Amino acid sequence: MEPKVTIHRYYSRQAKYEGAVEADLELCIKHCGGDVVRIELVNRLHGIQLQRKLRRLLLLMFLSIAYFVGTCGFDNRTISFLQPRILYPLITCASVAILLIRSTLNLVQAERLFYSWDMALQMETVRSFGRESVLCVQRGHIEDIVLNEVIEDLDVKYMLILRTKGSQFKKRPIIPLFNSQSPSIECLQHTYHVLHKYWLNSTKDRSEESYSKDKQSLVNS
Amino acid sequence: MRICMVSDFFYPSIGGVEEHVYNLSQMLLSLGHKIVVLTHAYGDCSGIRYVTGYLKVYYLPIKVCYNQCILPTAVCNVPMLRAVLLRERVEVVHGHSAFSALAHEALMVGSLLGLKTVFTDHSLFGFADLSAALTNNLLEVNLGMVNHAICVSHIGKENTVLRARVAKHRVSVIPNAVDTALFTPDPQQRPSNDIINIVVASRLVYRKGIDLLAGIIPRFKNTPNINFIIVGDGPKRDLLEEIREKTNMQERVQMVGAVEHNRVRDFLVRGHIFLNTSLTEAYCMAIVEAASCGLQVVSTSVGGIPEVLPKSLILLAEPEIDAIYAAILIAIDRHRKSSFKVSPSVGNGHLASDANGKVKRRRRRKVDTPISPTQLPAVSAPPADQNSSTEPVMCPYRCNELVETLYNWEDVALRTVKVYDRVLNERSFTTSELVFAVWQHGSWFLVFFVVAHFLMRLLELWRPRKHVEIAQDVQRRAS
Repeated sequence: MEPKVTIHRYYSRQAKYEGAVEADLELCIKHCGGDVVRIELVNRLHGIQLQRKLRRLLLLMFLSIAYFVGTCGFDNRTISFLQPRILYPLITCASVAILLIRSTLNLVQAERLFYSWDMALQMETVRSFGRESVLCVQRGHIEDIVLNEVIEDLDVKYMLILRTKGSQFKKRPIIPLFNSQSPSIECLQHTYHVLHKYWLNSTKDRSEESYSKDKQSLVNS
Repeated sequence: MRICMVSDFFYPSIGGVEEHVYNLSQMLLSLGHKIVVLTHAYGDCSGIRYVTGYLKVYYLPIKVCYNQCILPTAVCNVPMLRAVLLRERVEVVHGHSAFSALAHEALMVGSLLGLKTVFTDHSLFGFADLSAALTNNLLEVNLGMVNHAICVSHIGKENTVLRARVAKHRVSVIPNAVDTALFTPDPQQRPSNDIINIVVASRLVYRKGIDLLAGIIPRFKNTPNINFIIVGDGPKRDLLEEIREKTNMQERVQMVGAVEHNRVRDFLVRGHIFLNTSLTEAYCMAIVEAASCGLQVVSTSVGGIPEVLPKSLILLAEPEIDAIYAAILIAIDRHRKSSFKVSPSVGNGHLASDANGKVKRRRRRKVDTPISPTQLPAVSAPPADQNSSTEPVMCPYRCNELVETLYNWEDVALRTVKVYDRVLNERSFTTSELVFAVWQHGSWFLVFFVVAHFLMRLLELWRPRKHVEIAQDVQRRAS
């Protein structure tokens, strides 16, 4: 059976604040049967953002090389790194470079969510240069999925939150979903409704007996 | 109408300001307005929460500096306050309490955003000491940027007008109210014998006159049928416990400690007389709650207390031990003459009578009988009111009905809405007007105002007002 695919475009909060005219996030929802859904949130401007970050890094390198060559290259005296005109600029350039590299590596290309009522919820984050991080929450550890308001970075925003239960998630009872790209409330609401529909309206038997039966099988295994 | 209540004092903290903000918000919600409350975090209570009636509360992650108040920096919380006011589309910013640094900061931010601002003052302040002078000057500066002010009593209005130098036409008087459905009388809870319980319910601090109470309790040492129930906690608790030990009244003075507000009634209905020894009060909610529960109220005649209850419900005395003691004796005498006291011989509340229809009562004068007002020594202070001893004690249920007609939150909310309507019809302050007001009332504050103004400009560039994400309103579901 061919999965049903729907694609929507939304703004991120950053794009809204910048007054962008074109939506920078693309929400792709694949309905795979009655109990499985794949949701992917793609950063359409990731390439541009990455180029911009790399340009800044290159500019910093060029400026630092020019400065150090101009300061030390034509001097016949012995160069010491402890000299103030060498040490302070070096620390400053290194700090800025670290920040730029860190922000470049933390750029999010896409966030993928796989939810199956039978199995688990898996959250995959793809960052720059193909780096991935995966988080999997088993079905029995999912308490609820809520759309909550949070205070972060001196601002108030909405966040899609996965509430967990069980001893494995005792130190992390809530897990934010699609948080890295700061999607707007419209995108989060759409995602929330899709997930909650699958969470509540599964075609499988969700009675306690079925849950106990599955739990028993887990114990046996 | 969209209103934002701002104060450092809100639940889970317990107090008069907290109760006022909560009840007023609930009533305004029932009138169809959109209300949000802004306060700082209380321990684990942080973030955005919804309380009864879908009242939205922002517990901002701000550290508490002193006595449940944040550090009065005046500018550090501008970004968060601006974010909340804009996303909630607030029309009126209503600050509460002169002690609240968060309220003052939010009022300034609201003025800079072009919103209407209202301030409610809940306390009386002096003029002589250094702390009062500083607080008055700060209040003067902030009220210069406020559209309208509300005081809880006429004495409070007079006090605010004098110390904050605000025009009297910009100050309204709207008293507090009490939930009479919660504070209902229950005479059955009172002792069935001749014991009289005197209830004191307040924080045990100097301002509440606990030193006066410590001087009054020993005077009933030789009166075994007079008991005290003291509800509350504070620094002066040790003093009361010491007095109790010295006078050997452990069995007759009950120190309950701090209790939740919804449990205060359980102690009030056990009493016959409510004693308030405050040294200063703009409006005393405790005496209204006690009157609603059917207790005779004996209070010091300070601040706005004389205008809170009618003479039929309260006995006023000067804030002196002798005067308060005399008023208590009057209350005891009135209580003994009352005709609706529950008889211990029957359970239905009716007095037993003989065949001739006459009420038979055993009258025996005891050695420890309280001294009647006519037998007071010459050195004692005269009663607060000459006719107090002759007035009959009102039925507890009648007291509740009377308090309900005098003070109810619906009336308070309607009067507050009138103030909101008034300020909404006024023109917003321009930046130059705000600068002039700050310069006129306190030029030292101009530095903070300028910093806040430029901070707002930067925030407008960083997070433009028109692009702020609007909060979704939670609607009540029809049951």
